[in-house]
Amino acid sequence: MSVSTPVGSAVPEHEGAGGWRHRLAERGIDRQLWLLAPAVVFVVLLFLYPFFYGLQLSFQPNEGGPFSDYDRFFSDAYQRDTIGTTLKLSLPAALFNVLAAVPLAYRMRGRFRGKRLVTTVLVVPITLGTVLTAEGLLNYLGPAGWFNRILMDLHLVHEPVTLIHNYWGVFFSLVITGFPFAFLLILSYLSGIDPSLERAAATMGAGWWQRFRRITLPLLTPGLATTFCLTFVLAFSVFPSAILVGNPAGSTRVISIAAYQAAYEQYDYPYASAIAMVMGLVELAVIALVLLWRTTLFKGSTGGKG
Amino acid sequence: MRAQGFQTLELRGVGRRFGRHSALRGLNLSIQQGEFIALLGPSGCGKSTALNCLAGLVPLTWGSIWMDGERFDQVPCEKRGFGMVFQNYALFPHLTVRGNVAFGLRMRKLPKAEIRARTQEAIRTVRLLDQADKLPGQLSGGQQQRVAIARSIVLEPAVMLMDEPLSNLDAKLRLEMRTEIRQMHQALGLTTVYVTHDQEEALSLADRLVVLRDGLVQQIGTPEDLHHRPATWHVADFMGFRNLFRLKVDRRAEHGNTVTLRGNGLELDATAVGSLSAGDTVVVGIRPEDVVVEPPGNLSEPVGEPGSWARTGRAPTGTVLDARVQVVEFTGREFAVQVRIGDEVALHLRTPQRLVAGDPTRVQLPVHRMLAFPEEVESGSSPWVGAPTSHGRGTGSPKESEVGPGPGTGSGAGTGSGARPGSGEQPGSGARPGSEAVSQ
Ligand SMILES: Nc1ncnc2c1ncn2[C@@H]1O[C@H](COP(=O)(O)OP(=O)(O)OP(=O)(O)O)[C@@H](O)[C@H]1O
Ligand SMILES: [Mg+2]
Repeated sequence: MSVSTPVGSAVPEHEGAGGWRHRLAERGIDRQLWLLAPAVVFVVLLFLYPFFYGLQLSFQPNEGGPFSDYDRFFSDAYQRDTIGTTLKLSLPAALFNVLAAVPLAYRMRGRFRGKRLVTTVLVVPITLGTVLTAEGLLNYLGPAGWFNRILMDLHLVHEPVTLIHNYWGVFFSLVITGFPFAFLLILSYLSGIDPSLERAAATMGAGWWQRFRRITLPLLTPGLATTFCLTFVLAFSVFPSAILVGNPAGSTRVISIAAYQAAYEQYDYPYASAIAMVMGLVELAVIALVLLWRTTLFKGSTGGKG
Repeated sequence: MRAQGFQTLELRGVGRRFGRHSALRGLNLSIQQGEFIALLGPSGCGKSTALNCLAGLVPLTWGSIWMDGERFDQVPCEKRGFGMVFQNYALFPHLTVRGNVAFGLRMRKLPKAEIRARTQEAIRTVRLLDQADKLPGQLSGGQQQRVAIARSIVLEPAVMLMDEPLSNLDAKLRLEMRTEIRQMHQALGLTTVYVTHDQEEALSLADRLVVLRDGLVQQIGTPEDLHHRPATWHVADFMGFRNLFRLKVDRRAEHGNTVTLRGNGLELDATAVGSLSAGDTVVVGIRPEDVVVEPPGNLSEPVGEPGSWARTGRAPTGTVLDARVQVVEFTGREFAVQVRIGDEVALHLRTPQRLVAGDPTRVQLPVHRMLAFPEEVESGSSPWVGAPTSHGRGTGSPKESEVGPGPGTGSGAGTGSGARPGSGEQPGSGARPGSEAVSQ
């Protein structure tokens, strides 16, 4: 290696130490890495510790072998079906949030007057929190709420449409809380795409749809995948709205309700931990699929300023 | 309304404001089919803004664009059929070189075989065949720039807008590409508007030059016009007048436009550009190539007296000044020398003589090469009234005869050399030794 080169042998005593330090630095490992220490400690204490605590707890059931709680969960159809119920809610909700946010964010990617106001209005649902949103939904979509009254006054329906205490109530609540989030993320991804790319495409004769389809969308798709994952995770752990505007005993008995019941109604912490682990595994599986698909896409810089 | 086979493209009072800042004001320009126009000016003067206005990428704040008498500035960018090389290249990062070059052809839905052949040909023209399957992020700056050129030439647009397309290339490649651009322009008859910082590039490529400063047109004219008769000292600065000094007019001749200037311990004769009277502050300029170094043998003779034309009545040839050599740089064929004259005024010159730093020498500043400009002038109107214009002179090359603004091109203000009949402020200026300057 470098020891045998004439340059390297000219400075034999520094060769050893300087050599590996230089090689490490080339891989991004140097003394500045110590600056990360506080963050690492923080992550370990706040995230990894509870995770591993729960993990080991899930293997110590109150009775039976280490996997008996997992066994219990999967052999009981009432519990097992919560996975399907949650996926049926969270996947469409996440998909809807992403797909609906794209055109809106695309329209709003440039600079215009009142952009900040629109953005603020869209962010409000995030800050309000799920409970307040759920209460609003109860009033708005309920049998005597505005929405049904308008429909009936217009003679579009004869009796109130049931939109709460079922699947749709939770779905709407997931959209209300998840959409602004998706919108803001996608807006920032869009502003990271150099606007002169679309202009260049325009000078080459591409209309707005082709510009979007051939330039912006391919550059945006990795961001869409990330946004989908995040809104999916948010929706998958839905809990308050599933109880408040859903049907927690039936069609919206999501997996977090199962975990809650195990922990605080049966006081079976190992079982609750096992359910939480299953929840995490399902989320990971979905995210892994999405990210796997993402690796097939362009992942270089989008040439933007953001 | 795609631009194809048009006759004239006319900009009338085109301007653009960003917030409170006017990036471009009152640009009047009439572009003939097949013409090569260079936009020249210092950084931030509005060159890119002018191109963007032409391409339809930014809406005009003022003015209008007309194509063969039809309003054109409302036509959306993608329908104009103008090609553009962006200053920052704006290559599509997710497409390979080939994909980038083929993009416009695909948009036109041409047959696959034709797309492939034309893409290949364009990539060959910019000498990037070996990089054709790379992504732009894997190319060097100069290679990216060549992709940007290939991407727009492959479309053979009726009007080609190029924003400093060669700025990032090495000297040899730049010359090659310059020739390619010129050849393509001639072979395809593409109308080209070309932005550059480089006066040499502008002079060698363009049929007409537009010099901008602070968003305002300083001068529009043929390369010869601008080279020999810059309208303001800003234009002169761009045209290679590296030596520019601020002096005061001491007196001026009754006939002709010779003035004697004084200041900084100097007294010298110069040719007035525009109306000057005693006491005016002027900026006087001369190109380094035009400074004459007296042979060493003449050093003992007395210095010729400035203002001697007043007594002898003969047209003066030049002011001779004592100088001290300061810096000598060898440039290959000759030496680039910096000398000091008067009260420590630096003067750049070029000479084949081998001068030695620290030695005294003697330089002559030929009067007709020494141009004195008013310090501040209204732009747009040419001070070279009475001097032959490009139209009158365009007898030689066929190229020149087609570059003048055609008849009936609207207001016509600012087109051609800009010598407006109304701006005759300079009595008897016909005696300007223009004939000599042309032979330069
Ligand atoms: N989008 C914009 N918003 C605000 N100001 C702008 C914008 N684009 C250009 N300007 C301003 O307009 C002026 C002219 O800009 P322009 O890009 O036309 O300069 P230029 O002549 O191309 O300069 P350079 O040679 O450096 O490219 C500059 O002062 C710049 O700050
Ligand atoms: Mg520019």
